Amino acid sequence: MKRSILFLLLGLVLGLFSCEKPDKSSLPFVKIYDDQNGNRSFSPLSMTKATVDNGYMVLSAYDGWRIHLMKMDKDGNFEWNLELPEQYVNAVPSLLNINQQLYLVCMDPIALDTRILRIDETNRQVQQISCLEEVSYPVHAYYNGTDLYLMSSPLSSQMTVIHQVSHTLDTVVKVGALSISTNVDDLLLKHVMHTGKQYPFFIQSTPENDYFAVNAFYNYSFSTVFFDSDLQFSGVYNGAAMDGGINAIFPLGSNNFALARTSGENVFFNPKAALNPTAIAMATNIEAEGDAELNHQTPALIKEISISGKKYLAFLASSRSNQLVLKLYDETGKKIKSTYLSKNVPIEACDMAFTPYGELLMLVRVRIMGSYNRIGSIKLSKSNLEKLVEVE
Amino acid sequence: MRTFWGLLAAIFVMQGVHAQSRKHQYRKDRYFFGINIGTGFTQPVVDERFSLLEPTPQSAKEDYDKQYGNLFQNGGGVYGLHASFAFTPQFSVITQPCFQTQRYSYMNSYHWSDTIMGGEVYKEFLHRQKISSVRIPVLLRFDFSRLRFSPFLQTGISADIAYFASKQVFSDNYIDKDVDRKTATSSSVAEFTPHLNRFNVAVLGGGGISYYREHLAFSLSGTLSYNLRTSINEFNRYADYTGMATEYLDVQDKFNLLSLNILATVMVPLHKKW
Repeated sequence: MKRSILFLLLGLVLGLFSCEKPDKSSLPFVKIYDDQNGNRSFSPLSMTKATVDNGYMVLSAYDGWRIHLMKMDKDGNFEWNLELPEQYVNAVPSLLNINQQLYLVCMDPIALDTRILRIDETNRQVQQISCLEEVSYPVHAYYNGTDLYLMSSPLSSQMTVIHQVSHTLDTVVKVGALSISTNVDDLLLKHVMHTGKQYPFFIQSTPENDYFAVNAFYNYSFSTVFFDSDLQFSGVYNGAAMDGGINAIFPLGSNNFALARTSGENVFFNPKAALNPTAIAMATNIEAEGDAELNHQTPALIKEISISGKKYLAFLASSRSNQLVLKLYDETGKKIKSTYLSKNVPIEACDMAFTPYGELLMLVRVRIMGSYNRIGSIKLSKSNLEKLVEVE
Repeated sequence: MRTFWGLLAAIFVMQGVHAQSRKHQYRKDRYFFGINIGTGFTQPVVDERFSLLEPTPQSAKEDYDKQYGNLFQNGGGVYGLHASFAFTPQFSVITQPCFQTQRYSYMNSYHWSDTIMGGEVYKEFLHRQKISSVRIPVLLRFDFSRLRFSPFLQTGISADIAYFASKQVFSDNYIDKDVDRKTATSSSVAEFTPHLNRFNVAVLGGGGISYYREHLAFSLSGTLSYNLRTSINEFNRYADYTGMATEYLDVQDKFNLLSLNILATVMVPLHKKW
C-alpha cells in the first residue's frame, strides 16, 4: 500500500515535469521606448531588418519633421538611437535596403531638395551619399529590388512627381507627373510636419512589374493612380476629394490587390479586389467589407505572412476604442481571425514586418500616460500566430 | 553565531523531550481529522526582470526595476482541512488541503519633464496582486515527543492550483516610495488569472507544536513553501488581459513565490488503538 502511494506520487511528479515544452526561443513582447522629454512627440515611420544582425532599425519623426533612428534587437530591447542633425528633416516613411545597405530619404530644410543618406549600422551614424536638387518635398520612396522611385509634391507646383533614380542613387533618370489642379500646400505642409492628417502616400509595383500603383494627390483628390513601367499615366481610382480613397494596398498579381479604403468615416477591407490599371473609376466604389469600429484617421497596413506553411494576409488597423485590430485572411480571401491587441491607450499601427522566425513584429505609436507619443513595438510569436489560425 | 547556538539549544531540548516521551505516551490514535485556519505571507523571488518601458539614453532612469515589498508586507489567508495518519506515534503523513490567498505587491515610478504640464511630471504606482488557489500538500511529520506537548518538524510537496487572480493599481504624483491607498488614484480591479501558470508544485518545510488531549488535539505550525514553477506564464506575460499593460506600463517579472503559512489546527482522533 505504502509502495503504491509512493509510486503514485513519483508518477505524478514525473508527469508534471515531462510535459511538452513550448518553443521559448520566440516569445511575444510589448516595448515602449522612453524619452524623459515630455514635450517630444514621436511619429514612427518605418521599420526594417538590420543588415548586421537580427535586430530591427526604426525610423521616426520627432518634434515635427526632425529625424530619429533607433536600433532594437530581435527581442525588442533598445540598442542605440541617433537624432539626425537639423540639416536633415522630413524623412519619408521608408527605410530602404539596397544591396544590403540601409538608406533613408529626407530633405534639406533650407534648400528643400532631397538627400539620400546611408545608415552606417556599425558606427551608428549616417552619411549623405547624394543630393537630388530636382526632387523637392519628397513624400515617399520605394525600392522594387532594382530601381529606386521617389514621389515628391513641390509646394505651389500643384503637381505630384514620380522620379526614377539611377542605380548610383545620385541622379533622376525618368520622371512621371500628375496634375493636382488645386493647391494642396497646406495639406502637404501639415503632413510633412506631422501636425495634421497623415496621408497614405505610396508607390507599389505589381509582381509582374508592369504597373505602379501610386497613392498621391491627383486631380482635386487623393487618389490611386496607375502608371505603366515608363511612368506614363494608365488609370486611376479616384478618392473622394482629399478624404476618402484607398489607404493601403498589397499587389497579389494578375491585377488582384488586397486593399484597405476609407469612405466617409468608415474603413473597408478587401483581401482580393480585382482592379483594372487602365480604368478610370471611384475608389469608394470598390467592393469591400466595412468595419465600423476602425478609426478612419489612422493608418491601415497590409502584409503577407506565412503561418504553418500557409500564406495569409494580415490587415492591421486601429480601432476607435484604442486597440489595434489584426485581421487574418487566407489566400482565397476568407477571413480567418480578427483579434485585438493592446487596450486603453491611444495606439496607431505604423509598420509591420514578418520576421525570419515566423513572427509578426509591429511598429506602433503609443500615447503613454495620456500625454506622450512614444515609439512602441509589439511582437506576436510564431505560436501566437499558429493559435490564431487554429480556430479555422 | 547566535543562530547556531540557538539551534543547538533547540536540538538539546527536543532530544530531552524525546527521551522523556518514551515514558508517557499520549498519542494513542493513528488517524486524526480536523480543520485549520491561518495566515500566510508571500514574497516573489525574482529570477528575471521585465519592463514594458524600455530605457534609452534619454530616459530619466537607467532601468525601471520594480521594488517589491518584503515577506511580511504581503499578508494573505489560509483555511482548510487536516488529515493525518501515523505510521508510528512519532512519524506520520499528513495532508492539509486548503484554500489560500497569496498577495504580493510592488512599486515603480516614472518621471518626465514637460513644460506644457508645468515642469516635472512624477508618477508612482503601487501594483497589488491577489492569487487565490487550492493547495493540496502531502507532508511527512516527525514528532519529537509522545507527550501532550509535542514539537514537530515536517516536510513535503504540494500541488497548487490557482483558480482566480486579480490586480489593482494605485498611483500618486510623488516619488517618495509610498503610495497611500486611501488617497491615491486607483484603477478598477481586473482579473489577472490568464497571466498565471495555473498549476504549480511547491516544496514545503517547517515545524510547530502539537497539544494532545484524549478526544482533541491542537497544533500551531509554520511552513515555508517555495513554488518550483514560475508564477507568470511567459507566453502570456505581455498579453494585456488586465488592460493595464500599456496604461500603467506594467509587465510582470519572472519569479517564483516563497510563502510562509502559519496555521492553527484543531484535530479529532479516530479512536483506533495501536
